[in-house]
Amino acid sequence: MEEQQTGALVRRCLAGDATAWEEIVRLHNRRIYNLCYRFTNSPDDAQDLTQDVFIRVYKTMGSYHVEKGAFTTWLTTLTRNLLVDHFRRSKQDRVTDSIDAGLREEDDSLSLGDRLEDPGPNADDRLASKETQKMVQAALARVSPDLREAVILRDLQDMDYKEIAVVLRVPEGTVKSRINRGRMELARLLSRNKRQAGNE
Amino acid sequence: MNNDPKHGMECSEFEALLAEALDDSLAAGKRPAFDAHGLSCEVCGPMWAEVRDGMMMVQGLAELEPPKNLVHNILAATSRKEASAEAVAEEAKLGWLERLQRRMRPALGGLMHSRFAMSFAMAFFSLSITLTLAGVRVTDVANMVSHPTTLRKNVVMGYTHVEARVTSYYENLRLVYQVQARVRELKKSATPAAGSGGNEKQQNRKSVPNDGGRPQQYENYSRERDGSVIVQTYMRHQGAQI
Repeated sequence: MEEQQTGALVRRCLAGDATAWEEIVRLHNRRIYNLCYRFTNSPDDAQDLTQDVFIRVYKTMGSYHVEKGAFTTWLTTLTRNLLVDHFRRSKQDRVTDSIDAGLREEDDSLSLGDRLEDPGPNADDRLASKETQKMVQAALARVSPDLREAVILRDLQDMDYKEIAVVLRVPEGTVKSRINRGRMELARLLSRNKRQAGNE
Repeated sequence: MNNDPKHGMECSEFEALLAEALDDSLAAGKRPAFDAHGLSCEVCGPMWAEVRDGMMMVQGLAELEPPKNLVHNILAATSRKEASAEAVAEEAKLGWLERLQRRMRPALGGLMHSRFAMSFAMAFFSLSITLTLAGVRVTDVANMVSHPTTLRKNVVMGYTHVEARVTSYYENLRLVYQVQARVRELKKSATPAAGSGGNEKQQNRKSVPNDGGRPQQYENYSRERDGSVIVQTYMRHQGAQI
């Protein structure tokens, strides 16, 4: 249903309808931003990359054909290519554990008003949840990029093996293997972190 | 981890099937053996639990809210690109003259204002009347400018004319200097007798002792070019150095 809607929007956009383009951006920016953030572990990079992705989409939308495949898969492929480029570019100055990013994420997530009005779990639970999220994100950032992208696409973007194979341009067997190894690596990192936290 | 099969499954096979088991895509026939191996193997059992927990934690990561200005920035960036792309495409269709006119338009935009245009029109009108009254024909000027050979000839003629005037001026000046020098020589040759007599007188005066200590007045005569005599008078005090 969503794909049909997006297909119609793409056709309208190609016909020069500016509102259709705006609709596409509003529909997909959150998913692309999250994908970029989970991969880069940096809100600033994620924002820049999301913007780059949509600029690229805008420029190359003429090359997308509805019959070739789902727009979401095409968009994810494009995003993944830009992420790989970014990963190669920033190889020198990459920092595996960004405390600042974690703090900023914490600051950006809820305003003071929202915090006061938030009827959810109590402060301790929320803090524990945030700590856990930070720990998982930090562990994810330390997984090797090939495995990380497979895990993100599967467990966060909820894509099936076939779609991931299209995005990563590898056979399905390789996708399964990467997801498997990625999850195991992540599990090792998380259990190590837990042990370290327990010792402190 | 060992290679001994437990419940018909080796640890390496168990590990390879982890992803499918976690995604519930494991073949139905393999599920019992997989579960049994996981329960009985002291290595694979905890590993299974860790991987499953890790996956659930990743899946439990909250979806982040993108920055509020993200959509606006994207739309602004793409609309700028669209505008520039349209401008380039449109410009590519135009001829070179039209492109030049378009580029000049901002520079000349102010001058095309009605009051400036009126001023230019008045100035042109005045100039044309003045030229007509002075007998200058616009066609002559146009012909002169339109033919490059005529233009070059005029430039060469003008240069030659100026050069000739400068040369004749300096030739005349040289003649004048030569005549003056000759006259000066003639004067010099005519004056030596008078000059030598004066020197003798001065020598005689110097030999006379100055007894009063009073300043003495000397007179010196010389003849100028026009024949007039200039008398130079000066005071000399004994013992003073001149």
